[in-house]
Amino acid sequence: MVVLAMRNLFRNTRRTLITVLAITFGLAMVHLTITLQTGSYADLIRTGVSSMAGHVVVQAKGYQEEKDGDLVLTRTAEISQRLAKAFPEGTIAPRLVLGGLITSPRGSVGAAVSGIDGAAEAKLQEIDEHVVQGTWLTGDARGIVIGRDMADALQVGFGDKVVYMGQHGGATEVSSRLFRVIGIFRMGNADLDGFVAFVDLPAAQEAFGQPDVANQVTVHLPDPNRSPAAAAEARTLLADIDGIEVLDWKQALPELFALIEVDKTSGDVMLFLLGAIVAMGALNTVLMAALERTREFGVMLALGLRPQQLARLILTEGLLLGLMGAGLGLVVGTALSWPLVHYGLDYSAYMGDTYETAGVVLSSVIKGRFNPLRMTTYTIAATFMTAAAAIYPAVQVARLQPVEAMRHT
Amino acid sequence: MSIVHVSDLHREYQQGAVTVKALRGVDLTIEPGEFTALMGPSGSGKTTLLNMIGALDRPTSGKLLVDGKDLASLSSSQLSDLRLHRLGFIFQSYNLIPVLSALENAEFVLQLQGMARDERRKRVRETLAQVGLAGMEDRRPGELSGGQQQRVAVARAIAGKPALVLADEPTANLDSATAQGLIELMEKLNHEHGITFLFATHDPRVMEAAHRVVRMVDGKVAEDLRK
Amino acid sequence: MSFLLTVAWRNLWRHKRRSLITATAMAVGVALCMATLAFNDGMFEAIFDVMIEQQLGHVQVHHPDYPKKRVMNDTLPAEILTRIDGEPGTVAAAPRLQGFALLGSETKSSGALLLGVDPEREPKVTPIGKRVVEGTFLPPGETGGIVLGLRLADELGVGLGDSVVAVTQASDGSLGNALYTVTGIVKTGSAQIDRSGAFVSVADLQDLLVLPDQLHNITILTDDATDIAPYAERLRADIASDTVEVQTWWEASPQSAQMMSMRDFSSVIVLGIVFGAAGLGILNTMMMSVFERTRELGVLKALGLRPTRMVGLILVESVLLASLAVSIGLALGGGLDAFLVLRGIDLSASAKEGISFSGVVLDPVIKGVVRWEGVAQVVGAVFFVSLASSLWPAIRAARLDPVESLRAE
Repeated sequence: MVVLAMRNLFRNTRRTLITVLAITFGLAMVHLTITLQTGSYADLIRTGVSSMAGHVVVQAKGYQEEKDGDLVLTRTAEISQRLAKAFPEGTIAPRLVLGGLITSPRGSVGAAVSGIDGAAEAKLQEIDEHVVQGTWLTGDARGIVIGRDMADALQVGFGDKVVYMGQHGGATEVSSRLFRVIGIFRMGNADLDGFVAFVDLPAAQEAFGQPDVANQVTVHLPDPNRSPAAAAEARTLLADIDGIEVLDWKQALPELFALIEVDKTSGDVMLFLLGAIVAMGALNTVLMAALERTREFGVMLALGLRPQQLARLILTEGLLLGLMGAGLGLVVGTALSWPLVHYGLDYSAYMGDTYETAGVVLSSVIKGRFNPLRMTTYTIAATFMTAAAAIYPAVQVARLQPVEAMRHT
Repeated sequence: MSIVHVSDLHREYQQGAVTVKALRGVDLTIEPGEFTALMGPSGSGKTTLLNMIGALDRPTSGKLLVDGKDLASLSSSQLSDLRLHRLGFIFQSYNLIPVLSALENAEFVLQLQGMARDERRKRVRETLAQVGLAGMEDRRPGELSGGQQQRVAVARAIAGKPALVLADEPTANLDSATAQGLIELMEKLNHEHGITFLFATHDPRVMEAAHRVVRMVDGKVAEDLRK
Repeated sequence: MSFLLTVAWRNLWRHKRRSLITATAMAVGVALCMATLAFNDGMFEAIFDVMIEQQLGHVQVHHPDYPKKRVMNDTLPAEILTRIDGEPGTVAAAPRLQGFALLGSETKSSGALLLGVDPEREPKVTPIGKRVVEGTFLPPGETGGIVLGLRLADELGVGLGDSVVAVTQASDGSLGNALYTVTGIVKTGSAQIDRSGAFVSVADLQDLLVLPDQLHNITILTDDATDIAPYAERLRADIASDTVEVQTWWEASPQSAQMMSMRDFSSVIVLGIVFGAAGLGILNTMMMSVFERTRELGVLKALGLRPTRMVGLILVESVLLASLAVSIGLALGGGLDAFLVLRGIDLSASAKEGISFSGVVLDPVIKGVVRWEGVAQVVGAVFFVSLASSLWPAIRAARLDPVESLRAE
């Protein structure tokens, strides 16, 4: 049966090849898209989670809802220690973000000043690698690391003094604190380079006016998939502390995961329709191949072949067509994806060195990542879609009346 | 002036490693108004000669003038135009365009010639009436009998008022009565309208009706009989 | 020609099923592309609205160093505005002054970007007036009012009629402060302005910053949005100097221009993938159509149809097929587009605040935007692909040897 089906397909080599090529092309595009999607999602999640949240996020109750900088945890050190003990493999990063004004003798800039654990963040993010002058945070209580554009706006350089002014924690007065620029970074993103500064957590706590506070204490685990379980663990661990909420990564960054979900869904719809277009091409080929053999089928029926056997022959032809196309598609798609995985797709001509999405700053060189599960799924789906396209012609052929069929020209 | 002038015409085909000599020096002249049958056994070169004269195929060597033009000097577009304006074809298997009605099949040659719609329609209706198909103008080939289809083909061939109509076994697919009718039709067209016909045929009835019988053997003219 | 048209049209219906399947595949492609483009364009329009319409206008005038360094003293004299008003082609020009300040309510404060605008001129140049979600934009002729970004107002915990204090370092080094009353709240879609932007009248800001009759920027709307360069050229000749720079919007923000080319780039990718697949389907159909009619085409040729007209016949057939596909596709795609434009895709369940991309906060209900250029591109692509993929079959048909093809079955 398979041999017969194969011979039939290659009676009209050109037509079969064009159809196989269409399936190959379609599927290769699918694989390419999947690789790119998988890579950019992975990048988005990794960067987003490490810079804006964590796999376990402990914060003051209501912070997620209100995003009010004055909602702070009050026992940061204790929470951090207990989390460090419970997750020895993880990195603990407390964060306190202050919104205020940074001024120099020659200018001022509204800024978000992040009070962080410099050593911990260096492990999680790449900002320390983007310091172009001076150093990353060293634990110096007066040190501040600012972006290149902010330094330009303030007309300050390495070693210059700046003043932070802000009003926090229900204080009625504006407080100010003097810092010295110990480092300047350049991420290539206007928001980060122009409006973000980093100081050590204790300095931020002093500027805030209360000791031992933080907006969040985040835990970063080597295995991201442990996030929900780890959050549950942390919830029990910290049950005795009032006024806190413990979130896993998806709860902490709903926007990010929503974006990915939407992108994935719209991608799937598009891929499905692309599959449908290719399948219709296959339907045409199998249908035509069947119709032009009507007379021959009549003869076969007259010779005693059963209609189901003819139908099975047509289905086998469809399946073979699908197998060839999908197999080749897998090969071509993998080959085309290879450079994406290794070198990435460079969008920097369109977006600058980095771009922002859902609050996450990403490199404009988007690297792909192979996703064997989805690639296999689509390969199998494409094969069956093509085989399914042969159902209609198969049914048509099974209904043939031998005498009429033989009269057919 | 003769419509066809052929001298020392040769045509060779390459069939695998073998060279087939289909025509080996044919000399033939056809004058306006003639009704000529080209006879001969299969493989004698009748169809090849007809294809040459019909500007469908090019000779290997020799001289070939149709309607006063040396075919060797014409481009393929010019050959198309020659066929369109000066030649009519009738085939053994009718070869009508299945998606066009009887009227449209006969009409489109005129349309390609660029004739205005009203004049064209009038001419085609007259022509279809001449071949005995009045009232069947809107039928598609599939709705006509073999004889009727061949009459449509005749109408198509003569509608453009060609200098020469070439017919390759026009009666071979028809039953005897229908074939007789068709031959009489073409005789009448030749007689009354002076249309020149050249047949390649095996049919003795055609030979009977012909004024001139050219017998071919082995790619050469063996006998040329005028009645 | 009408003969070619008749024959081509009837030929298509000879294989009703095949033509319909092919046309449907193309139509699905058309609909898919239209929907994807509408969705993309919806997002890009939102981005352009923020990046270009709200911020850049057509032409920007500023001190050459100001955009890069944002130094407060790099200003323009206000009288330039009169000269710009007098320039032929100027529809409206809006002056702006900006500076960072610490904005404080009774209990909270936040670093803010104060935007000094002319309450009368600004709405004529940018759509800011339409972005007011509460209250009104600054009333013309009055001073002392302030319009806050939505999230800034939230953060300060203030509403209409409340007072806010602005504290900043003025250009002379002194610490200036001023009291403003909130007249309106805006939601612009720009992450930066919604989070930290505050509009005050330019006169008020000149007082606060001690920059009398000074401006940082003039944004101009010209009478011909499609041909801005000549206007900019004329204006440059008239007013440019060492301290006055004239730039078109794309010169002022290459990033926005890149964004625009990215939109076009992504359309091309979508079109390429979809019609690559669909084109192979057409190729197959037209090939079959030519090969199964070898004899018939041979007759046409024998009867004197010129080779060029033969090519024409096949191409007309494929154009008709494409027209059929386009009409079905426009109907399908129009339906999808209508849904996207009227209802949009609602992400508010998972991302209440919307999704941000490149500094622009997209509404959580993403609505499609239909650009006629986009639809025209899709339709053009169908015809192009149809013609391109039937060219080979058409040439085959034109090259048929009449003697050979008459001999075919």
